[in-house]
Formats: sequence, structure tokens, C-alpha cells
Amino acid sequence: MKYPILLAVFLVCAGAQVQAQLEKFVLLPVTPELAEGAHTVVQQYDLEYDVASPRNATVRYVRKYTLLNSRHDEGNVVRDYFSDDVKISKFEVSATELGGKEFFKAARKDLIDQRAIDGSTFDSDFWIRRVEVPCNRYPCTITVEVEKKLSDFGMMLFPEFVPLEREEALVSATFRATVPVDNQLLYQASQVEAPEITDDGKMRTYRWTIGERKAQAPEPYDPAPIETLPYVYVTLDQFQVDNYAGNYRDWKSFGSFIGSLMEGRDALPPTLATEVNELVRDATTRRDSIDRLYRFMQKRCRYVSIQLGIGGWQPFSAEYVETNRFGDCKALSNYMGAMLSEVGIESYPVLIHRSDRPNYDVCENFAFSSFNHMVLYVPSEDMYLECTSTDEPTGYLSDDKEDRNVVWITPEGGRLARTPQLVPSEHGHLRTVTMQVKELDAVEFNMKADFYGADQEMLRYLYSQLGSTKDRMDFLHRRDLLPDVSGRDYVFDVAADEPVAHLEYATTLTDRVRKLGSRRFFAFNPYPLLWVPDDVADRKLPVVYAENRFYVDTVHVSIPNNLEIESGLFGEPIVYEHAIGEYRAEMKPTEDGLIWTRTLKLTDARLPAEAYTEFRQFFVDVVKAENSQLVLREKRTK
Amino acid sequence: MQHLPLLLFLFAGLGVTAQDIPVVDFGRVSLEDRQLVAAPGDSTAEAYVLYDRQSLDFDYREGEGPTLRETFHTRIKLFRPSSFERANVSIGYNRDYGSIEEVEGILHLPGGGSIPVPAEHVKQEQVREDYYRVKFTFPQVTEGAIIEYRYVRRTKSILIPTTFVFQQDIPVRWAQFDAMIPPYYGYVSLTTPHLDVNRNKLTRREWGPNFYPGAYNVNNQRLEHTDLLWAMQDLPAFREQPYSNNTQDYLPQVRLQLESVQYPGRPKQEVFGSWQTTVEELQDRADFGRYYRNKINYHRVYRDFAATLPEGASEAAVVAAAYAFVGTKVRWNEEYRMLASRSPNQIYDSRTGNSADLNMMLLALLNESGIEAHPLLVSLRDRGAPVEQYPLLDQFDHLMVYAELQAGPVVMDVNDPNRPAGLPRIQALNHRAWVGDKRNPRWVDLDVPLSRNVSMAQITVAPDGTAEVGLRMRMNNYYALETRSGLRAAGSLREAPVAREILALFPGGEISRADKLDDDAEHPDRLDYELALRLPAGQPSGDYLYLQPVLFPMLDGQLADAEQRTLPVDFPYPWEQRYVANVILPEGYALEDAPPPVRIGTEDGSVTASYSVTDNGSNNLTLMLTVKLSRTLYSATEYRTLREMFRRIIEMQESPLVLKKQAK
Repeated sequence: MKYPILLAVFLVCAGAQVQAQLEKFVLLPVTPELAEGAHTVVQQYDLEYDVASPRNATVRYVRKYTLLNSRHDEGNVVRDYFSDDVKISKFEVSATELGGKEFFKAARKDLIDQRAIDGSTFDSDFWIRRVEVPCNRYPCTITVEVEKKLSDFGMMLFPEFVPLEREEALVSATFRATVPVDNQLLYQASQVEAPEITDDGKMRTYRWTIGERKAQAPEPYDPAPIETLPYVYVTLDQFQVDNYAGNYRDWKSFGSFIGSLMEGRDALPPTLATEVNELVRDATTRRDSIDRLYRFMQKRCRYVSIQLGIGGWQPFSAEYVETNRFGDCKALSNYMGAMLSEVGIESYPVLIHRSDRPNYDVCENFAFSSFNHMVLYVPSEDMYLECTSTDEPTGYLSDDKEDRNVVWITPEGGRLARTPQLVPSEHGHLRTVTMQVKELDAVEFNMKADFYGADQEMLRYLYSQLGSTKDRMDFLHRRDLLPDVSGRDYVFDVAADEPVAHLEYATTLTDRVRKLGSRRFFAFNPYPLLWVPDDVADRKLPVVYAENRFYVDTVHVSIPNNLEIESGLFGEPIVYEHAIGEYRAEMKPTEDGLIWTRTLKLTDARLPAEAYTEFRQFFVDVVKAENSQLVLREKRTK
Repeated sequence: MQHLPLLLFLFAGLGVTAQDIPVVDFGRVSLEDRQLVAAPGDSTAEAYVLYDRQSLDFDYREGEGPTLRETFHTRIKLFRPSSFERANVSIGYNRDYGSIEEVEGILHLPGGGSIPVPAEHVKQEQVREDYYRVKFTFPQVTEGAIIEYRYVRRTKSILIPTTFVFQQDIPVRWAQFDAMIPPYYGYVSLTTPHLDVNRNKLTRREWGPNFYPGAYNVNNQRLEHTDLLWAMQDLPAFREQPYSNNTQDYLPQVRLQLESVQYPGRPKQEVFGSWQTTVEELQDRADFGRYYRNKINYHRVYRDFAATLPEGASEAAVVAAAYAFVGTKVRWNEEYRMLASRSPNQIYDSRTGNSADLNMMLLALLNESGIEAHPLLVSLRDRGAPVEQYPLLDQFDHLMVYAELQAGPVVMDVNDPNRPAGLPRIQALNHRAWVGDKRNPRWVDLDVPLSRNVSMAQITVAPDGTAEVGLRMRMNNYYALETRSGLRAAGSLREAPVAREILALFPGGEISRADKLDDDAEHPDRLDYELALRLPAGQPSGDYLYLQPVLFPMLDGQLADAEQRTLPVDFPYPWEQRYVANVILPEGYALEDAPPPVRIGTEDGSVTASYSVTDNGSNNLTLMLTVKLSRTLYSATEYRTLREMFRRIIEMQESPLVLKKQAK
């Protein structure tokens, strides 16, 4: 036994003296080295996956973990999901305090079953069972034992062996999967040794073991945890959902299975078919036809999130959508695809993970479903259509869907593809401001701006969601896009056919010039970029920077005759360059003031850990340049 | 307050005659409404409530007694896609206490035609153990469509009918509450909205049990019901404002509560007569008084607690020990309640409980230790101002402890041992609370002491504007509490309390230390805290150096943002911040310019601020900024003055100093 006695451990939280002050000496069955930087130590995690047939399997796991301090993220709340096809047959939770005395054992009354609905899901067949362990003091050791019976649709929900997250240390973990020999376990693993495989003629067993792992601290711009922590993902060569047989052998096979679920659901009601043909009768190009049909769908249908039964994968039919004029992403994509098909335009449903950055980017050699959304792809135009949107321009694929692997569901089966990468020049803003210093230190402010691509998305959403001018102005002010809400000449619009939002505004500002004796301090840059990544003393992980933007701001400053600029002018352009961006600010004098122009180009990049200091310094320099102000003083009479 | 059976209606403003009351038949809409393109007076509204009605009625079934039957009927015009979420309807209920029945929905298209919601689309489902919901979504929703639905909510208890709110977040054309109340039941109304229609009369109708059996009175009895109709029309959309609490108070609404029951030939039964009878009833309740008064419910907790007490412990020591004992033994489950879920012994075993569970355990320990303590009930800050006139228990959602100590009364709200007695949870600071003292039930002001933060900054400035900063802060009360909690949650130095605000102001800054000093467990109401930072606090330019000497804001800009307010400004607690900076100038520099000293204050003295800079010579100067807010509630009409004060204070905290290099 490696840890026979309780050792005194002084918890030192990485980079945080603040924590060192709070967490004193505690006793733990782990070495100080292993506990360093962790808020949780996973003592034991044993996962078992027993496949009985293509439509039945059992998942069991025991997870024993110790919460070391209060910095865990709801680590004391144990939860798992269930449904008609995923039945929980065992759910036991107990907890011990320091010294091993059990102080909690979950009774039926402690278990809360809740339907898995949130603000965005209107209907769902999934439930969550949860229990909250009353960990009042630390360390608090929780033991969870769960068994789940999977059938039908549940067979597509494969267990994922991810023994630890960031800020968690691991003592040991095992994963055993047993599959009939006439089926095959497919897997992808990282930072885990190859499995031990045994075969008794009927069943084949795979066994992975992971030993001690120290806690990994989260860092600014770190890679997704899955890239730096151990995991094993598994699927099956064969599985069955209702009467649909499927397999995960490759993307082609998996795509065929998804295609079979969608088969026969694209028939248009005759009246709609007539309307669709009428709509595109005088269209001049294929793109024009697509645009007309996309606009037609946007106007006609609305998105309602309904995750029911096999409907988790199978869409409502086009006829259902036509009757009710609503559907989820699958149903609306299917509906749009059916209309395109009616006029002879081929399209493919697309499985995609919609998020700022996918935790796991699917890859060519392992078919594994980590998708949460469906869009449509039109190959003849190389165009993606987001069918849940009622206001996006035709073919616009938003920031949270670009530059990632997706699966096209083609008639021949699935095909892995990658959505386009963002180009800086298409995402950002062009903004021109006039700042005219007047008497009594008021500043007349005039602004015109166009926002493009990813930077117009929030504005477009705002435009569609808030009708009231006052609400819109309040929102823009809260987002620092308007300096106040009491101005004039307000114009806010979004272009219907291109990803552009336009904003104009004028106001009189009374807080931009601070008078101090005969001097005035004038913050002439109304939109300074003031963001700097956190400083990290000993960077461990690579830097993943994913922004692609291009910002141009021009400020015309004019000052009254009785004032002159004491300081703040600069002659040479300020230029900073780095792998992730380029900053340039110029100042040119004019008859009554100056013109300040700044451009900032940001480009995505992956940098080694040791490049972090320079990466951060780029932003420090930018902020310093952005914070420049003019000091004005009354002209001295000669 | 209104006594309905007596028909003493004081609601003001009768701008509409009874003839103007719209008759709205379910499923039939006018052509004008179909073709409406914007809400009158609010062309930008996403939707418009054409009609919203709640009808209160009573059923009587032998063996069950009276039950509430509330019929809801809503008609909404949808102008913009952003309003389409309103077409997803979800109605929750607790199946142990009632049901939702007779649900119907119909959509009216702008160009004509109506589409009913298919019956199979109306689903009833369990959300969690005791909570169910009925839900449906309308088909063929489009801009200009009208959604219309109605349903009946049956409730077993007639004590508290559903509150009806006239105003909404979108404009309302017509909102109506009507009721037909049998003469046996006396209700009070807890609100006095400014009604456009206030129609009250007596109407005879059949109802209820037969109290007059006889040969000539076998079947039906016709009773004079209170027949009322209250309505408001053409209401604008309601808007939230920052720093407002109890926004519910400012929405016109009907809140009824059963006051008494009197059947013919039987004595009048007071549902609540007075706070005195209420406190007596509470004391008898198993989930209230008996849990902390009957030792059988807390003997094990007390046994373990008593074992921790030293012989002859003082009153203060017992109170502190009991407070710490409960706070460390039981975890709060994040639920606010005024009733306990289980006995203190059971809570002690399970180690978790709601806010009432924890405080009731404390009550038991204090009383058993000979310290007089009572339950203190409060409605939370976001629940509305309390109604003091009537003993309404449903207005309370949190229980605390009011202890009568030799040094004076103290409010205790146990959970976090870092939050000392006398400092309730911030959510509980709703100005007034009710003491459930059996001998003297009463309302008391929920005052908390001033929270103070005194900051001493040592700022050493280099010629390039970089400042080495040592910041020592002495905090008490809520400042100390928030800083302790912030430190616990901080994952890195940059996330440490106060450091966050400083680094937001000086984004290129670096922090090397964030520590508590002399953390005294005996005095969790105090905290000494220290930060060490390097900040780009100055901007050099030729011979000049412009320095930003106030390192963190004392006031949130949102307070000075609005042009006008319609809601009060409500701070949770009074506070004072004092900032003293000792600035060491770079060698060869001197102070060239600084704002003149200033002292400002509101007329009533509740907000004061002062600012001064003193040049001490020898490259050293001192800046002092003090802001004090001693009142917590300001009416909307006081906002203009308050805003001017806030703007001046923000100017003080943003004012730079001008340093100039001296000629050698």
C-alpha cells in the first residue's frame, strides 16, 4: 500500500498566496507533491462498460474523490442523466470526513430528479438525478457508485473515460470495456497507455489503467482540457436504435446511419411544393433561389428546442414543420433541405459543435459524436445555412461555428469537412469619431461606425430582440458602444443581406475633459482597448489564441482657440508587432487639432508556453498606447 | 387595505364606465386587432397585451369543502420575432395542492383565419418530484399573429388567491381582475392600485353547502356574493432600473388574503386576527415553534454543543459559540425558507438545511442556554416591502434570530462563520422584520452598522509613470465579509478582492501580493488586508508626469448614468470609504497642479464626500478622499440630487495630479 498513513499536507495553491492563507494544515492520504495546486484529488475512478448486444449495455463506475478546499466547482453535487433508454439501476453516494468517519449516505429523499430543461430547451426526454453532499469542512471525501442500463437510443451515449479535470489530481483510475467478439470496440485515447486486451472466445475485454497525475492549473488561453489531460473515448462497430442499425466504423458509416434516421422525412406537402416552385420561378441564379427560399423559411418558421425520444437525432418531418411552422435545428435544416431539393438544389445536413471553441474537435480517423447542432450545407455554392436564425444573411456562418470539423450527411454517407476559418479583414469595425472641445469643457461627440462579421453578431441579435430605441440604447451603452443615452442623431441598423451593422450617434459629453487649474485633461480616445491577459509566473501550457479581427478607429479632435496642447502629441507612429497581431497608431496635426488613427489586426495562433510573456506584453503595450490623453492648457499671451 | 365583504373600496381613479368594459369571447378577434401593426403609444414594443383577465371563483364539493377556481384568459399581439418566445407557454403547479385544467389555445393570423392548438400538443408533465407543468406552443406563429389562451387553476386552499399583476414588460391594453366571492369568506386586499374601473356589487347566485335544510329549501340556495371587477387600461411597459429592489412593489397588482370565515349560524373564524394570534399559532406548529421549543427535537444537538462550552461561559461567549457551532456543523442548501424542513436533531444528522433550519437550530441552542431569542421573519430584498398591518405569513421567506442580550438586541443569520452575528445575509436587508416574540410580537427596523473601509496607499512613482504600490486596508462588517469571501473564491492573485478593480483601472498592472493580516478569528467583523502592486499610474510627457492617484473606484458609474428614475435607489447597507495615499514623487519632480480641496454633502447629510491633496515637500504628498453614505433608501424624486453628488464624487476619484520635473 503506497499511502498507508495519513500525511500532513500543507496545501499550496499554485500562484495564489490568497489560498495559502486560507487553507491550513489538513490531513490527507496523498503526498504533498500530488496534492499541490489541486482542489480535488480523485482517489479512485473505476469505469466499466459491458456491452451485451448492439442494443443493450451496462455502465458502472465508482468514483472516490476528496475535495480539499472550497474552490471546487460544485464538486459536492453528484449528478447523472437518465431517460427511458438510460435507466439508473444504482445510484449511491456517501461521504466521509477526515479520519474516515462516514457522515453522509444519500437516502432516497436526498435524491432530486429533475427534467433536463433549461432556458433554451422547451421540451426534453432527459432527466437529471442529483444529490448535494453537505461538505461543511475540508477535506471531504465523496464516494459515488452508479450503474446505468443502456438500450436503444441510450446505446449512442457511450461512456467517456475522463478521470480528471484541471485542478484535480489523480491517484488511480481504470477503465474496463467488455464487448461480444462479433462486435468491436472502437476507441481513441490520449495520454494513456495502450489497453490490455483479453479474449475468452465470447467476449473481448479492454483494460486501461492510469496512475498518479498531478493537478494541472488552468491558465489564460490554455488549450482545451482534452488536449492536455488523459482520456479514452469509445464507440461500437455495431449498435441498434429501434429498428435502425448503425455503426461508428468510420464517418461514412455513421453518416449513413444519421441519414437513415432522416430518410423519408423530407416530403413537402403539395401546396408548399407549389409555393416553393412559384417562389424561385424568376430567380436569376442558383444563389438567388437559395436566398429566396432561405428568406422564406426565416419568415415562415421559428426555432423551438424540442429534444424528444429518437427526436434527439431524428428530425420532425418537413410536413410537421410546415403544419406548425416551428422546429428544432434538425427539423428546420431538414425542412430547408427539402425545399432546396424541390427546386433541384442538393444540400447536406451537417453535424456541428456550436460553441466558442469546441472542447473536442472530431477527427478523420475516429468517428465519435460530439455534436450539439445541425446546419445545412449547399455544395454547389460552398455555402452553409443556419436554419434556426430568423435574421442572419443567407450563407452567414457565425463565429461559434467557423473553423472546426463537421460531418456532412451526404447520400453516400458521412464525410468529414471543415468550416471556413475566420479572416481578420471580414470581422471587426471601422469607426470614425469627431470630438470637438467646446466652452465649459463640454465635448461635442459624433460617431459613425460599421461593424462586420463576428463583431456585428451581438448587434444583430440586439436589433432583433429589442424593439424599443431606449432598450437598444441602454444595451449599447452598457456594452460601451455609446458614451451615454441622452444624445441625438441616433441611427442603428443591420443590413439584411450582408453581415454588417451600422451605428451613428451624437451627444455632448461633460465628463471627458477634467479641468485642473489652467490645464484640461482630455481623454480623446473614446473607445480605448483596455484588456490585458493575466500575468502568469511560470507558464506551463501552450497559448491558444483564436481571435481574427481587424479594428480601425479614427478620431478627429478639435480644440478651441484659447487652448493649446501641452502634451500628448506624438510624431512617429506607435507600432507594435507580434505573431498574434499588429498595432499601429498615428497622430496628424490639423488646423484646429489633430487626427488620431489606430488599426489593430488580430490573428489566431498557437504559441509555446514560453512565448506567453511576449504575448502578454503586446497587449500591455497596446493598452499603454490606447490610454494616451491630451493635456490642454490655456494659451499664454506673449 | 380592503375588506372585500364590507365593500369598502378605496381604490382611486374611475376613468372608465361599466359600459366600456370589453366583452371578450375566447376565439373571436376583431379585424382591427388582426391588422394592428404597433402598440398605440409604443411603436417599438415587440408585443402588446390586448387582454389579460383573471377571474376568481369558488367551488364547493361535499367532503372537500371550498376550493379556488381561477380562470385565466390572455390575448397577446406579437409584432416582432423577438416576441415569439411568448408563444411557448408553460404553466407550473404543485400537484399536491392543485391542478391546471381546461387548457385551450388559439392563434389568430393577421390576414384572417384562426388555428387552434391541437389538444395533443397540450402536455402535462412532471418537472421534479412535486412540481408539474402544463405546456404547449402555438403553431404557425408569425409577425402580426395574436396568441390567445385560457386555463383554469384549481387550488385546494382558499387562503391566498393568485396575485394578479396589471402591468407587464410590454404594453397592456386591458387588464382585469374579477371575483365572485361567497359571503362566508372575508378577504383583504393588500395593495391599492390606481384603477380605471372599480365595480363592486352584490350578485345572488347558487353556491356551496346548504346550511338551511328544510322542505322548502332542499336544493339550491342563492347567496349574495361580492361581485367585483377591477381593471386598468392602456398601461405602458414596465422597465427595470439598476439599484432598485422590490420592483414588484411598483407594479399595480391585486393581492388577496383570506381574513375570516363565517358560515351561517356558526361563530366567525378568524384566519388571522392579529400578530398576537399568529405568533401563538406559529409557536404551536411542528415545523416552527415546536422544533426549537421542545427539547426532544434538539436534545442531541444541544448535548454536543454544551460539551464544547467552557464552564461558566459568559453570555457573549455562549452566543458566539452557538453561532459558530451551527455555522460549522450545518451547510446551507442555498434555499431561503421561513419554516424548518426537519427538526434540529435531524438537520444536525444530515448536516444540511435551509435558512430556517439553520437559524432554528441556533434558536434552540440559545434558548436552551438561557438566552432569550426569538424568530425574526423577513421578506427578501427582491420580494417586495412587507405588509405590517395584517399578519400575512406568506410574505416572509426567510427566518433569522433576534436575541435579547444584555448589551442590547442583536440579529443573527447563521451560515458562514466568516459573517459575524449582527450582519444578516445581504438579501435579507429589506429594512423591516417581524419578531415572533410570543409576549410581544412586533416589527423592528432591520438596521445594520456602517461598513467601513480605510485604505492607506503608499505610492512610489518612477519617472516613467510606473508606481510601486503598497496598499493596506482596514475593513469591517460587510467589507470584511465580502473580502474574506472573495479571497476564498479567488483562483489567482489577480482575482483577489480589490485587486480586480485596481487592475481593471490599470490593465497593464501586476500584483505580487494579496494577503490577510492579523486575521483574528475572534473578530470576523474586522479584516486587515494588504496588496502589493506595480501599476502604470502615471503618464510621462516631456517635463510632465500626469498621475492617477486614486487606485480604485468608490462608486459605480451606473449610479450616475440615468437621466431620470422612476424607482427608488436602494442600497443594502450604509458605508464609508476613506482613502489616504502617501505619494513619493520621482527624484527631481514637484507637484505642479492638483484639484483644490473640496467637501460636499446632501442637504440631509446622508451622503458626504471630501477630497484634498497636501504637498508635504521633500517629494512627498498626501491625498485624502472620503465618501460616506449613511442612508440606504432614496426616493426617485431624490435621484437628481443624488446623481449630481455621485458625478462629483466620480470626478474626484478620476482627477489626476500634475507633476513637473524641476530645473536643476
